[in-house]
Amino acid sequence: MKSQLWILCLLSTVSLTGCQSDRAPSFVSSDEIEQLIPAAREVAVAEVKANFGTPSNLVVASFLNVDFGTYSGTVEKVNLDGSYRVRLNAQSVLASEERMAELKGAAVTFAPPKPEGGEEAAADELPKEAEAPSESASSEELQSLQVVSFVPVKSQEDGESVLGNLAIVSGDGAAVSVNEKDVVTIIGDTLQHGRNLYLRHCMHCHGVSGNGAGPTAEYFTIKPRDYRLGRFKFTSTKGGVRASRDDLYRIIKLGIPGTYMPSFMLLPDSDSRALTEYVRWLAMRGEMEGMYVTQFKTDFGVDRLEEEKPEAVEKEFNDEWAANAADIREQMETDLDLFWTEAEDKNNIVWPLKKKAPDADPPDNELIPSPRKKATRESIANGRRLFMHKDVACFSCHGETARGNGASTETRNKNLITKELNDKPGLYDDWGNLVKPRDLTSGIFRGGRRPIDIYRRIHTGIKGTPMQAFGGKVGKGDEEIWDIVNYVLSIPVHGASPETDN
Amino acid sequence: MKLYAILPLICLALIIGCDLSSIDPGGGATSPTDVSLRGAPPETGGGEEVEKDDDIDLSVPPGTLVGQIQFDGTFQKLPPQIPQALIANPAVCGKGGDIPDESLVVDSGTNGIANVFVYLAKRPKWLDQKPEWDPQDQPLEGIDQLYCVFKPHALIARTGKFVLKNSDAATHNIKSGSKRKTFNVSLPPKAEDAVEFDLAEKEPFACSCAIHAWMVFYLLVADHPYAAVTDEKGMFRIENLPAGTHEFRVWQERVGVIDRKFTVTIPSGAETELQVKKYPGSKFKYKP
Repeated sequence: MKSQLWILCLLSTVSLTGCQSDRAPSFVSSDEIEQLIPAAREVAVAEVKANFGTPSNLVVASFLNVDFGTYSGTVEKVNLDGSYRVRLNAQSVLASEERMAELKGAAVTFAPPKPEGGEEAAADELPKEAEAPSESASSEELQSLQVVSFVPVKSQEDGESVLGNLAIVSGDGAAVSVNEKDVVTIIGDTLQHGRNLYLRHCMHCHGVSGNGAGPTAEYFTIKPRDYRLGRFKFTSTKGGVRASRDDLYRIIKLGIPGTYMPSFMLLPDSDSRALTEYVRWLAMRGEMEGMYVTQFKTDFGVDRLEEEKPEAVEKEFNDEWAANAADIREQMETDLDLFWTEAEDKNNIVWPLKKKAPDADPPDNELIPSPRKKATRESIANGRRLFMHKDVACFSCHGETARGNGASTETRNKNLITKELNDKPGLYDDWGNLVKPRDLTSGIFRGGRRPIDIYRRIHTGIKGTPMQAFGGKVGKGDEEIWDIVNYVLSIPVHGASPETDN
Repeated sequence: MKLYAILPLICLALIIGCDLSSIDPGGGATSPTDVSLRGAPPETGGGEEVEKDDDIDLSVPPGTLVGQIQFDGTFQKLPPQIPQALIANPAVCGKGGDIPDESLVVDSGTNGIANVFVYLAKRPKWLDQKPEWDPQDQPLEGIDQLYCVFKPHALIARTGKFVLKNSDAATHNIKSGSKRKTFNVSLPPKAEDAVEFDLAEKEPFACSCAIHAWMVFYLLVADHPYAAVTDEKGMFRIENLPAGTHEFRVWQERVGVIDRKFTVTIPSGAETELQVKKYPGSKFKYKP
């Protein structure tokens, strides 16, 4: 009987510890941050939090190139119950009424109407930096007004703009002064919506923080992407340029064949777009964290504490940070903006180009579009020749039979960070995962099976992996990349042998 | 015995009691503080502002730093990474010899350490007042590959164009290990390419060739001229430094930063005496 009582006691303790009432998700810091002395770690965490908040209190930092979801309009009337009758501009009307009904918790700003002339110009622009509250503002007390509810009513007059009653609350309890004709801006709806969808559909693999370490990730042989390097594998952008919105949108829509990443084709487009923004935003969050680690690691790594007094190192850090905080912040904001803005630049997208007439006299090297070559027997044969040619050396990783078993998969390389030999021979990606070159006979192409997808994989490589960029290097010019594309696309059908006639 | 009977019930209650199904961002309904605009930046600790560069004198002619990084102790040459007999492609790689281990190269005569970076951690603010100390028309140094070894093994690049060359008869590639500038380009025999560095780096980083696993070189991208790599005798030279005290960083590939503050006082209009810095083998994880 006694032992049974013990079991009961045990069970009740298990039940107490096993049941966590607080299941609100939170962003976790990277392991790398442990390399910093505690004071530096605190600063890094606080800075990231100030710019990105937490999953339940998202922060909109306007320097980021993210479409946070902004609706603007004008205040028509101050209602008796303290809410406001607002009319949202036609161009910022929501995708669907469902989204409109969800509109709560987003940030709101009011501004006096602009003088006649340029009133509509700044409609979709984010307001300049939020006004700093007068007293010391810790990251906990961010100044803001929030939407409590928004009840939309269809406009009778033009059928386009959305009328509605907007109730707001002031986060810091300060009095709000709003007048009729004020410009109202509601910010953050897309980010919120993306967050909700992310926690429903993506979090269990990619993790709340986008670190690729969600609860299911450990069971996968192919690891979910860790966004925090800001690096995505399958892009249409040039080497060294981050992924564009359209690249990520495409991956969400179509999934990645041959991996655990499913297609989310059934989500409405607006949902996929919101997810895209949220994933980009999470990547930026991780990048900023990494930037702070890089910033402080050299001078304020934990290894210093082995030899020196912690107080002295901490004092040195505080002085250094006090003197340079403004510069460091500005640098990071500029860098993050640059990285993600250049990814949206249409000039940074890889399109097949060729020289107009390189053999003419005089040669005409103007670049003109190079449409896909027909997959003729000659083209495929030339593709195979290039695949096996020592100057291109596709076979060194993908193997002579294109089964992804080239000599490189048997080489034991050194890890350039730890300087140690890798545990297993083969090729590793930037996330430290052992990766296999694609088995081209399978007919499964992760980055997409359109000819242009394969063209871009060969031209620019696969970012973060040993697959390198061959653009500008293949044969006489990029036109011959099409031959390799034709060969690669023929392999699942005809095999990798030269006798394609059989 | 009765207890056994109710045990399953207890378990059931436990399972039901734990609602594991939903994870909600805001705890039920979205909380009112769901989205905030970024407020003022957090306070920057209690530190005092430290004025550095106090004794830098820009009014007098600049001086030159001449120094040597030395190995303290006896050094035995590291065994080759790949002995000649094991090179798979001896016609191209190794040029009839071994593939050397260049991670620590010490000159037997002077004990000078080659391929050590000595640099100012960031672009000094006073440089903007003295553009003539930072000539922009200097010849570009790039990286080359010869006999499956990167030449040179360690180098400085300025922000801007950086040339990648392959003088070998084999295909190589160059993959950047930088977080700020990623590239991974294939280089067929006798080919040349270039990348553009927009941003300076805080530390040197490794670049490697995936086809030849032993191939690696180290690169520091600086946005100022005050950076040098030691030659095979461990010597380095940095010109156009204003008179006053400067703090250099010393970096070696086996460990990273080996000296955060290599402090030198530069005289006006002249070279310093030979500044010798000695580091024991333990600094480089070197065991004889």
